[in-house]
Amino acid sequence: MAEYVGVLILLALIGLPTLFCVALAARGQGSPSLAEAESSASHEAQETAGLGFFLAAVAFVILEGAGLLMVVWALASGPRGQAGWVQAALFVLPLAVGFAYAWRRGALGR
Amino acid sequence: MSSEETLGSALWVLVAAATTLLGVLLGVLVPLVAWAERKQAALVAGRPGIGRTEIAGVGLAGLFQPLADTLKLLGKRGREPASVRRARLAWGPALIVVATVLPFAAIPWSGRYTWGDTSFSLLLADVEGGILYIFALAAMAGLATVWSGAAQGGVGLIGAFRSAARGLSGDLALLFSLLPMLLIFGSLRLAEMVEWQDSGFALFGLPAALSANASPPSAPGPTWPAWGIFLNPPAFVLVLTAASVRAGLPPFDAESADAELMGGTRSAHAGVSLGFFALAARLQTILVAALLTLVFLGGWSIPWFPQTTLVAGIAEYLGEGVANAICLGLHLASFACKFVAMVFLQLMIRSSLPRLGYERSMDLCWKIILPAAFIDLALTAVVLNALGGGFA
Repeated sequence: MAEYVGVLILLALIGLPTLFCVALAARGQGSPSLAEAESSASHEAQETAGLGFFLAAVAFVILEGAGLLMVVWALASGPRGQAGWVQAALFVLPLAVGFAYAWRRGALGR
Repeated sequence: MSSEETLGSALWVLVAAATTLLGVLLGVLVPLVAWAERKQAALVAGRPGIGRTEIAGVGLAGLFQPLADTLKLLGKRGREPASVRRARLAWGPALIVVATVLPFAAIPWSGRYTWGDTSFSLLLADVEGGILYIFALAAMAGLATVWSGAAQGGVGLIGAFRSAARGLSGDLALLFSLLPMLLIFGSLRLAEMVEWQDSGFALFGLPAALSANASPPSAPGPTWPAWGIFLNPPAFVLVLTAASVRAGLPPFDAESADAELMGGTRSAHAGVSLGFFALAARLQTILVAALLTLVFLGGWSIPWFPQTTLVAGIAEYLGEGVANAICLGLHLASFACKFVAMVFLQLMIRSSLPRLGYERSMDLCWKIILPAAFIDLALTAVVLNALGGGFA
């Protein structure tokens, strides 16, 4: 874990000044602001997401998890034998079929 | 020297390295990219572009423009009503900046060199996760973009939805389009990837390998640098596109479109906060360029002159230490050339393509990049298997 010390130092170096800016902006000193009456009221609007977004999100979760497993496979297979390739193909093939099915049923939009 | 003293001095080295990294990033690279962005857009559009900023009569082709832009940005008035909870708004852009600076800790800028009995490399944190660490932080920055849009409501919320949809799609496409490269390199560490590419492969190696029945052939004929872009050209195009989508760089920045969303995710921000968005966009351009250089262009390596050959060749005349120093200089110059080319490529794409709607960015990721990455992965696996496990 020692290598993360550098990350922590960088985090402190960039984090503290930005934290300062956040504090400034929170007190309304980051930028001059318009008076209440002049500003637009567009911030009150509401927005809803279509069902398509959720289908895409579910597909994302499944494929991303599979992708991370594939990373492990890509790194670990070392001196690759025929068996390693067959196993990977057995893993990817259902995934690809599922993806094609979701695509055909219109989960990815038209 | 006691172990505590070693630890203390190592800590100071790290602090100095981190300060230098941050200084070079924010003080040199970001203004240069900001300048290049405007100058190059002007070039494409046939305009003279920026060039009227001067300090004491010295203009330098508008190189002071980023400074003037920053000063102007600080005085920009906000549009938010006084009733908006500013603290909630202010966190988003700050988090984006932090999450885009941190990946640079794992970016190696040079190889490993020895000077006397110390060995060093220009790499702040040799994180084992390597490129996955960078992806994780890129996802954090995407999340912070969504947050800063969602905290506003209205057009900001619409922008947040767009950026979430676009970010997820880009993330998936990036992971899968990079998989073939991970398969080739067998490592997540960027420095190890470059060391792997710091060699050559036989130009006609595949038939030789196939005919020799996968026993390592004695590389006949000419050799070619074993860069990722030569080993797997489609992956370069896929990763370039997917990384731009992931980072939300133009032309994939529909969530912050001026014309239809009044700036979308950044619409309610002004002053320093708005500046953070601009800063993060430049940092992401730099990050994508550095990643492409490291994974596909052999990083700091010089074609046909591997580090060992180079150092040994110079050491014959000037000694080991000087040879290492010269090698470091040459490697940095090599990295800089490739890096500038990659930044220019991105700017070229940016100024010549119209902005894509977010749904078209999603289509691009799900229906073009993802299937193409699957095919690329399968082909890479087959070729690697035919070669008996490796290219070089």
